[in-house]
Amino acid sequence: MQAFSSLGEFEQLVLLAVLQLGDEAYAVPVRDLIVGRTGRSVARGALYTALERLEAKDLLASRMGDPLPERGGRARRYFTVTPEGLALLRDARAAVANLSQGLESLLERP
Amino acid sequence: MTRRLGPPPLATRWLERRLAASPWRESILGDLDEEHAAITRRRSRLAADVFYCTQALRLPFDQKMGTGLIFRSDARGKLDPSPFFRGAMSELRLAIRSAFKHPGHTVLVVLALALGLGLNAAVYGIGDALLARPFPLPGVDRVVVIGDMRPGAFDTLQQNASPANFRDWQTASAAPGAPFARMAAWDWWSANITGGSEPERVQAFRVTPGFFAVMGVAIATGRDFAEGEDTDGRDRVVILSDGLWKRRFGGDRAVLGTQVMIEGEPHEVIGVAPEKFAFPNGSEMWVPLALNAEDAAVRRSRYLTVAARLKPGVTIDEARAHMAVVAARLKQEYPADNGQHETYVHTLAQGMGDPGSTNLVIVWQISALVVLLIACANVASLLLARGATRAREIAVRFAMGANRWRVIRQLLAESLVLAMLAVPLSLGLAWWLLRVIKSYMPARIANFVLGWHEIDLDGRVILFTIVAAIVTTAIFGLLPAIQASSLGGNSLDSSWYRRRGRLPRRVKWFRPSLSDTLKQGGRGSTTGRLRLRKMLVSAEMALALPLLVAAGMTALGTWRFVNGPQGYDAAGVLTFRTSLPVARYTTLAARSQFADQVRQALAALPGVVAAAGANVMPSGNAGWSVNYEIEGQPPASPDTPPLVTDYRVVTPSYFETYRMPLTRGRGFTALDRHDTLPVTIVSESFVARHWPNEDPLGKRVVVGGREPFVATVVGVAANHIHDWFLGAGRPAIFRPMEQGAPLTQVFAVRAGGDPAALTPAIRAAIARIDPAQPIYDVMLQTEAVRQRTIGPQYAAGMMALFGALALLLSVIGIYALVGYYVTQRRQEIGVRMALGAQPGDVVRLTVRQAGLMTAIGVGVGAVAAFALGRVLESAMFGIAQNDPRLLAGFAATLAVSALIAGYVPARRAAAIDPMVAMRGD
Repeated sequence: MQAFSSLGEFEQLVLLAVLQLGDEAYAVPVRDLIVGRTGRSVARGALYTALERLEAKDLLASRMGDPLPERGGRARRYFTVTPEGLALLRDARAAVANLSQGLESLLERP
Repeated sequence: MTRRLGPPPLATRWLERRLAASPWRESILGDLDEEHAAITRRRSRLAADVFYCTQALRLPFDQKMGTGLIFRSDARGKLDPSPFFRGAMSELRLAIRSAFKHPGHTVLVVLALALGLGLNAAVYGIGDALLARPFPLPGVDRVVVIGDMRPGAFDTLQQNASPANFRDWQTASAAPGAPFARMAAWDWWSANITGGSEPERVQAFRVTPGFFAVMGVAIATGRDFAEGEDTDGRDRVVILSDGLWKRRFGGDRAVLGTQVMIEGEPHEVIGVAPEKFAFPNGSEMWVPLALNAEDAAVRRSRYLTVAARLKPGVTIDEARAHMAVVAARLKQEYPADNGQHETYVHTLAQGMGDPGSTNLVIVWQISALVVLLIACANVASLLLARGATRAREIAVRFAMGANRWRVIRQLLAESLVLAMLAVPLSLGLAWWLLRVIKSYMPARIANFVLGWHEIDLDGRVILFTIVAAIVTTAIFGLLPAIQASSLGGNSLDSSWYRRRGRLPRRVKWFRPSLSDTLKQGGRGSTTGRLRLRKMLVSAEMALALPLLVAAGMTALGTWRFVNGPQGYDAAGVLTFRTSLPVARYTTLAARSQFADQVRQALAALPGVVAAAGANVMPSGNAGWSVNYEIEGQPPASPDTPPLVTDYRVVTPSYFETYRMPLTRGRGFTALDRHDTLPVTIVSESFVARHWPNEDPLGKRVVVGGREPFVATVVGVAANHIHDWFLGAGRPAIFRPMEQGAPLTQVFAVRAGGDPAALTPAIRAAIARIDPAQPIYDVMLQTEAVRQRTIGPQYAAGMMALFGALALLLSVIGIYALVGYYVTQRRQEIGVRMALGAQPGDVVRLTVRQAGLMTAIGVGVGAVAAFALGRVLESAMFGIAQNDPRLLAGFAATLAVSALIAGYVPARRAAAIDPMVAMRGD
């Protein structure tokens, strides 16, 4: 079993958002999605740092797109979740699910 | 295809440099660019730019980013914001936090600074408009004023040229090598405009073609004057100001080409000037300056103002050299008329600026700076007090290895944050002050105060305030910072260190003073700090007293003048002016008949006690003086300047209406007619000048001018003040209206009840006599005096404001200091009381502190105040008088206020319970 202690909560959110977005996952929509779904404020700096760190841990892979005129001729950096990343997410989710068993009455929103 | 509007290039470049070597460069810049475009679409371009700039500034400093991988990935360290910058950011952050942690202290400091800064911003705004750019004209620095002056004459700053000299200058300047692109002249005019709605008096100027070109403006609608329209017969054309066009003609373009009646003559409207162009003096109408051959040949009388626009690349010195040659030639050719004169070339501001307002604004700015200095002293004192309570915090910093520079920097950053917090508040205050100051100025006078309409809270004032705030920080922040970082007077490189050579940093906390401070719980030694604060408070008083005295002098002097005896009774009198067109009132008989009809009609109105006509009224905005000689007393030599006296043409009822006493002889009567003996009444000052020990009645005065006459003195009138500037002692001669009725006439009505209520009846009465005749400047005589003295009133009002603020700030200063003294000495006072000291002793001990500071401050201040008073005496033309009683009074006021401010905390000290106090904290 992989150690998930290195995967912070924010990093989990980033990985999930990248998964949700599929082929269109780059920083701007990732941030919008997290903000939109969780209602939390996300500093751009924090997001870039998280993306960088996740890539360094091989949980994310990135590729550069084509230069786009609406970005002043600059390319987007698209992310995909690596198999390792996906495995880690599954583990984390399973861990949460296991530990939550029997606590539904407490954890479910009334 | 529309061009894509990218984010602000400067911010982009800045961020690009931060990210130069980062693999994230493309994507981060692109993301921000994309979001910028999205915000532009969704909200506005401005919002997007603000977003982009904040992000660009924030990203590299974001704590996570700063330590993260992206900005550190540069091997050369280029991406990392410089350590100094990063240090400064963290200091600023700390300073902001500290400012919000002590809201009470922050509010006090910010308020004091905002008062001082706001006052300075407002005065700077005035000075900037009045002195730096009084003319809102395009390329105004290329416009020069050319004129003749007689060295040593009173009118050295009047810009005058005679028609003949102007023509010669113009001809000489048409040569290819001449420095001027265009030259123009103008002459003061004001005219009745009739037809359509009610007749109206309009400020106008007669100008030569080329006037608008020299001023650098193009006619907005219609056309400019053509060459040759300044000749008799072709000159019945007019250009309207935008304001007049919209007000009187509803901004209708159809008015172009139509005829309007000006001074009873039809004029064709050919153009409308651009919006806001009202040069000179709020002009609303321009007509060609057409001189007939006789007038154009006049070389002696200099009544034109001449301006020229320099050719591109030509300097004013080249223009001066050119004009010197031209003038020298004219001097040779016409020694009689030009021999005594020098021709000058000035910038527009030099040539037409008001030297009086320069002095006034400088006095104001200095006073405002003094108030700011007092505020700074107060703030410094507060910061010193705070430094005392923070001694432990600072000692800890030293113990942790901070060096002194670092601590000073931190304290200065805190001061800077306080000053910056004061900036918006002070701008608000300045905005409000400027509004009040502007609203107090009568509209008809505002036109004559150059640059008055330009007074505004603009970018320059804002910039000035920010710079002033930064400079102020150094003034009030440096002293407390040095003091606080020295830890009780022992600087870091004390001899203790030097004797032992270099010590490792870590050992610094061995220093005795440092460990003492840590042990004492931050109370530290405070004597040095207290001495400094006492000096500051004394300095505040020494600064405040001269300001108070100056304020008192101007305010009292102005009040005395405005409400004091004018030599006549201004209350209950309503005045107005009217100007007869020369075309319809060519003869003296027609003019004096008009005056008589109006006087009779006014006197017949119900509620009117007396009515009179005259050529000018006291404190009116016009004067009239003539050259004269006394019969039998010819001038000593042809070189002596001619005698000058004020000249008043009045109806017989004038003295009664104004309640101006006649001290000898008789008044004018209906029997003094144009075909009887010319008679005159002279003022007492006139008698004192010429016949101090003789009977003036029956003496004869020879009056010069276009229509000279010899008049016999039949009476003597008491002195009165026509113009505050000239005082009451100015000689005047009066002449009956019948013998010299002028075109411009003023009328005065003394009412039994409310004079202002008569206005509609007066308008109706004039309309019955001549329906085409407008009346204007309808105002109470008291209002005329008020308006005439607006200059000294402004001076007095501003000085009073400065004085009041100075008093307030210095009293707050002493209150805070004595309060601080009491807090610091609680334990000592407690011990004293436990040993048997009475509350009275404690109060005495404490108040003595305030007394000593006050004595020093007031003593130094009194000397400065006396010196300043002498300066003001001459600057205020006799309105302000240096009065030792005033000085003594204000010194006492300041001293008493200071002692009261000291007494309040002293009472608190006396109420200390010795048991509680000795227990300490």
